[in-house]
Amino acid sequence: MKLKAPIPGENLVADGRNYPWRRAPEMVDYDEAVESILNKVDEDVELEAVFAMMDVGADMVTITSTILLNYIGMGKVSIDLALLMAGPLSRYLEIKAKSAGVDFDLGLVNESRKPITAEDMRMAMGIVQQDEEEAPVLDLPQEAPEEEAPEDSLMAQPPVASEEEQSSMLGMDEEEEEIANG
Amino acid sequence: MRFDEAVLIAMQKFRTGDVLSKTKELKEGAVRYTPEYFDELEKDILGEDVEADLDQEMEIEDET
Repeated sequence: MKLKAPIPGENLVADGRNYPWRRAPEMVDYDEAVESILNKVDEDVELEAVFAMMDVGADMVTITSTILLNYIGMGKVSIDLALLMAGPLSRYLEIKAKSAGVDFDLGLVNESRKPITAEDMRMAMGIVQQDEEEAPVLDLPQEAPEEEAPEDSLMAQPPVASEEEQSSMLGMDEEEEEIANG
Repeated sequence: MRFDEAVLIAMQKFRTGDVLSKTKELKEGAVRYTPEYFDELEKDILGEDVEADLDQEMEIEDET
């Protein structure tokens, strides 16, 4: 059987600089990186794409993640710096969307929001849980009681040896036996 | 933690102004793109529009 999988150790012979994100990032300075991405986003084509995503219903977290992952993929910034850039980028996109009159969803978690529970889902779907008394009793097969095997059977539990027999099996003499038994 | 979850936390922290405290310590000189910078930018870009809307509302109220 042939498996389409890498040969063990194949990664050790591959060139580590094949992809941009495997090399050192182009920018390591916070301000420089933020300025770069804001200039990039400010381009007409990019801004139109962002507004189109907002119109489709994508929230700000998704849009910001997409842009940042693209930037990481191009080898512009490291993942750590990209996370620092997430705040400024989202804030800038928010301002741009407001100025253009585009509706958007920030996608931030509302702390006052009540978490959705299974009970809420049942209520929403019209499924009312029946009381335990009204619940139908299922006719489950009863387990048969275990029958004890006869003593002379091969399946019977072997008799436990007495203390004397056990100590003799261990090779103890009478004195050692007394010490062991206390 | 997924990347988008980390982005969400980073966005929330930036809005509360928490994230830049350590960045400022590491970076030489002042950090330009702070939450305050974007607040001012928002005022600059949206401020005139907001004032114009308020003026229009005032005019409509005066006419009635």
